[in-house]
Amino acid sequence: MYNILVCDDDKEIVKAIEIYLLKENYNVLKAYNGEECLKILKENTIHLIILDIMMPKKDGIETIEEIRKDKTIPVIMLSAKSEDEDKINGLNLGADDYVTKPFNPLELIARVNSGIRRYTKLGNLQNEEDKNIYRSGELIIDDNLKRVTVDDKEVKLTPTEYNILKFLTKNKGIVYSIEQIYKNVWEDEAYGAENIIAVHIRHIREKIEINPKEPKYLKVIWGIGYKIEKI
Amino acid sequence: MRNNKLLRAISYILIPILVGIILVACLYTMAKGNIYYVGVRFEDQYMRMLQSISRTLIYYDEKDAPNHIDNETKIWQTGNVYSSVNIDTYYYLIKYKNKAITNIPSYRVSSMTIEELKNFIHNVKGNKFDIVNGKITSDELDVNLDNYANDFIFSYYHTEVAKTDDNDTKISEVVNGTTSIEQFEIYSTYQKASKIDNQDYFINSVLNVISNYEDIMYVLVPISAVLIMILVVFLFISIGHTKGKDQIDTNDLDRIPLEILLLVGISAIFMILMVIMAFSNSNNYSKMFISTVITAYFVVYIIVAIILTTLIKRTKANILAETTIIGKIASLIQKLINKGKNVLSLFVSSMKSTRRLIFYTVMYLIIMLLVFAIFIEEKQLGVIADIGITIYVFYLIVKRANCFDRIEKQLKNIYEGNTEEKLDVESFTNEFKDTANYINDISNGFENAVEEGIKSERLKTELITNVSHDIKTPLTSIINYVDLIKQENIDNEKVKEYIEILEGKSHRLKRLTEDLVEASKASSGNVKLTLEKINVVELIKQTTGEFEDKFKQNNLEAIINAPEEEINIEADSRYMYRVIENLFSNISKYAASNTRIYIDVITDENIVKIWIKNISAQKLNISTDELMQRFVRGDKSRTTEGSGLGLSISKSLTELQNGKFEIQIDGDLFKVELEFERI
Repeated sequence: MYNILVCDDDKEIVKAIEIYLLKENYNVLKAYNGEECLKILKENTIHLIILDIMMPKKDGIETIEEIRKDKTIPVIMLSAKSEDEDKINGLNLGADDYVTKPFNPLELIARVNSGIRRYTKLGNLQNEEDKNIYRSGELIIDDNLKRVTVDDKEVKLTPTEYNILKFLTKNKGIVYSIEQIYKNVWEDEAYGAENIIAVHIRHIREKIEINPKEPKYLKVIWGIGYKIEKI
Repeated sequence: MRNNKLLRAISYILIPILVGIILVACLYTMAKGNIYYVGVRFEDQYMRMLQSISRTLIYYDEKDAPNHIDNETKIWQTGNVYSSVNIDTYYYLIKYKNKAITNIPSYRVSSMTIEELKNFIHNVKGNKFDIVNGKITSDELDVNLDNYANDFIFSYYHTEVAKTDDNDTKISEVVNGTTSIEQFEIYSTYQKASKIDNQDYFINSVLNVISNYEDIMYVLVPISAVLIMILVVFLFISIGHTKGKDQIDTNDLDRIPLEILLLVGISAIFMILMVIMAFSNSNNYSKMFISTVITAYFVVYIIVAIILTTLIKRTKANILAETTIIGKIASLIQKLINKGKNVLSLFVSSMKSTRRLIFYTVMYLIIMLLVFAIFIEEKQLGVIADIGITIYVFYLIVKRANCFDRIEKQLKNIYEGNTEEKLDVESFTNEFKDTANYINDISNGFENAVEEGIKSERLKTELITNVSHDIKTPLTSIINYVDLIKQENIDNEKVKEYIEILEGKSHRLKRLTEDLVEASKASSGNVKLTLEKINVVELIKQTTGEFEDKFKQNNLEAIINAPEEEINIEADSRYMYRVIENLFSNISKYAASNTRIYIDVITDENIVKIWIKNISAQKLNISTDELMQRFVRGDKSRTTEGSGLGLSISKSLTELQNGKFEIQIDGDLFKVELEFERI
């Protein structure tokens, strides 16, 4: 049983999150402002925190600054502030994830699962030396078994999707245009039929990402190309 | 200390005394060097006289009857030979061979021999000297007379007039011989004290008195000089200031015209000098004269002091110019000229530009003619003067033309929205100053209005952002609890249907809130752009890929017509996607099923155009302008989902990235045209 601390000044939201988390067999602790959050954090063993930004007494920004002074536990920021600057600010201060309100409950749970897994299994990296295994964060492609897993969950891909993902993961961090991907994966000249690549990429995103519109692994750089983020 | 009246009074009194000391010292030093040179030195004079008498003695002929004859020597007797020497006290006896000459009165001479005469001289009271055999013996002569003895060597001549055949007179000179001091015996008295000429007696007597204090004087002079400087500086600083007053203290004296004061002062000094001159000419050197000179000196000092004091005061009070007659006249003339100028400029400025131009032209012609008329005798000069005037007038015109150009440029600036630069009104000629001022005012007003606009737009954006945050929090609960209800086992079909509606609408509300914030930010320009090189074709392919499913749902087919090459523009990658995404999203909602979407990329070297065309499902009985407005949607019934902000956001974002966004409606054909600069 993992302990999850949910901190939001809106009691109904905390309650709703609690219901979702209980269904996933997490133990839930509740706080309604930053100070309570820090107090509970001191007295209990917490594995993940869901933290609202706009709260009375001590807001989420101050709270995460406090937490990050001595703790590395995963923190998911939950806020109605949806501007890019807010997200960047939150992540820069040490948040592991940023979810905007109103959130999709499934997405939130998925992110909680991912966070817990990363936190509890940190340092358990296996088969790092195997040449046929490519990875970025929790995205692992085992070319021996032709198997793709994200957060330990297997993802079913078509052969084409698999090839595209393998190529991008192999060269993670580098941006490839549709044409380049086509040439590299099909090892052929592009004829304009490569339009289909964009569709494939979308399908891959839908399969491996928690929120395909805000992808973590397979990033879209509009007007330039695609890349697998180096994590 | 500056305001100390006592100190000031002491300064006024001390200064003339100290100056007096220095003056006297100067006079003394000058005169001292001159004591021996005022007139001829006694020795020179007296010895020369003796020489001359000796010379005469050589030529005395035995035929000339001497008025006294000694047993061996004939003795001549002379009167006061040398006027400048008081001969009464200077007795002499000069003997040469068997001749002698003396100035001892004849009644004595007639009864005396040479020896007796010598004794007589020796018995006279005072100083004496003898020259015998070229040697001078003197009781207390303080000047060495040996040089004079040497000077006695001279030649004597005998002149003869010879007659020639042509009756011309020729003079032949025969040197008879030379003689020297050794051949004379001279006995004489002299008066030691009377070194100085009679005329300078007074001055010299004064100098003699001073000479007793010479040592003290040389100490006093530098001290006095330093003291004078200190006192004068003190007075310069102090004059005009009174205790408890900030202003310079002036009185009636300081308002008397300076010229009158100077005139009175200078003539007074002149008169005093005249009086002194008169005194000094009368040879009447007395104590009276000294006291007169000293009095005159102080009177002159007082006059000078008064004039200098008032000058300092006037300078300090800054009334120097206005208290002179010349200054008053000058300011009067200045006033008159200004008045004339005002009248003229009023006259000119009351005219309209056209009339003014005519007025100036006529003036110009009149001046040209006048100048030419003046120089009618010297036509070349007249032409040169006229050319000069014309060049000057041309310069004036150019200056005004430049003003006009600057005004025009500034108007263009304002028209283009550049209100930062302002006109420098001072640099404009008088005719344009008002205009320049008006333009600056307009520019300021414009600037303020724009600033106000930006400010209010920003406030609006902030308000919308804040409100949207406040809406999102309860909305989160609504969405979450609707979802939770859905997960409960509900048998009632109606409730299930209602929940579906609730879910749809809550999501719609969410979307609307997000779009609202985005639209307000985009339209107010309140977004941060990261411009980079973007391939338009890639972007369209990517976006088409994203929408493939949605298009398929309505049986829409996207057809991309793009050149093979890379077509790059400079834009923000994410915002460009938002532009195309919004358009595609609209198409997926409003395009008629089973139709094709044409996406054309048209380019030349400088411009990239993206045409997105589709067939609308509904009749588009709405103008493009209206369509572009916020919250307006193609279907007035508003049954389809969407906020109505998509087009507005796309347009704003396109324009923020320096692109053009246009919509064309041709029947059911809906066409969006994007235009960017190609790089």
